[in-house]
Amino acid sequence: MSDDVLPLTNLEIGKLQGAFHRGAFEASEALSKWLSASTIISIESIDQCRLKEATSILEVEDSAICMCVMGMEGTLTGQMLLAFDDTSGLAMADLVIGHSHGTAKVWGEVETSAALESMNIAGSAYLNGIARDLSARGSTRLTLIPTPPTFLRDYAESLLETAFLNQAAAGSHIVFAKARFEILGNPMRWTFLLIPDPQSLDRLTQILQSVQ
Amino acid sequence: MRNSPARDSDENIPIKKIGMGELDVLSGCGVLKSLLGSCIGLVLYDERQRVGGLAHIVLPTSQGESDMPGKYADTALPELIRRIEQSGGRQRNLCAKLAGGASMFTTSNPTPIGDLNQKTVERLLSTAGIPILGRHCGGKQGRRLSFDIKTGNVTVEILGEAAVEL
Repeated sequence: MSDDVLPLTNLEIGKLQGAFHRGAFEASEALSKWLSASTIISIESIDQCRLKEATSILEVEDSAICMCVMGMEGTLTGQMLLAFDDTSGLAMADLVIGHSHGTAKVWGEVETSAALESMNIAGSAYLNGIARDLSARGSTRLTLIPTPPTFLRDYAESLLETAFLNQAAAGSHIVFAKARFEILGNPMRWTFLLIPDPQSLDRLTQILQSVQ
Repeated sequence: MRNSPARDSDENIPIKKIGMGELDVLSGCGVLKSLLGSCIGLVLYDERQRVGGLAHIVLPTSQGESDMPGKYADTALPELIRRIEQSGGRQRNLCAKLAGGASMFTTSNPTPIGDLNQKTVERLLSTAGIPILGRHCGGKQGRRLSFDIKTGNVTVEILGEAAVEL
């Protein structure tokens, strides 16, 4: 990381950790119920990186990847992404549909719908948890509203480039929170990204001033 | 410090990936690559001198920002020309090829940023008197672009489709 001015300070990131952990906890509970399987979503990092490094964060650059993309509206705005490769995504679809592992081979209507509904459930719970935590610890009552998710399958870098576009317009660094999944004790190759837009980063800085 | 490009192990050809907001120029031989979504990959090539460059343009206008010239159309084009001339190329010999400018996510914006990027780059090229020999822009899908300096070939690939040469 360079000496450039970063969007968030270490203190602000520290304050955000609690909110994101709460969000991940609530999303874990919601997804466990939905999948009828013990699910743990854990925050891997809240990170800031240079624009040119941003599209490498999934470490699968020019491979095909699937993404469920959900907008975040309300007090803070931005994008939430659930990214997974075909194998991991189809395994999730099997779990949702109640088929044995390896049944789903391609992304049909049912498999896509299963992925989108999982995103809907996890993303909504994640945002609720973040809003609840920041509202409880600060003086601003936050409302975070998810939009209906959409399913995309494309080059990982092309998708991330588009997701980071709003932040790219405002500066040379990107802020994102990254979470990992574990189901029935097995790590899954799914990544959950929350990418606030630049207006929200300014608003977040103000909100965090009153957060204990 | 600039990163050294990777090299093709068989022929020792430099291969360089151009990330968001970056640009670079190679002469003689080598391959410049980029993965594009709504961004535009702008290729400029001087066939006579075998010098060419690629810019991964994110936004149409810099509005005074100059820290990352490859990021904006209005700073990327002059910087690319400057670097090509520095490497022995001539502006009057240059031809352009473009790819990218997709609208991958649903947006409420009536003019998606991909369209704006493409229109701005084309207008700037026209003003600079640089002809556009090929383009592969728009749609909803990402693109993998590869530019071979030795041959001037620009290949564009959409996931699940055959590669297209511009």
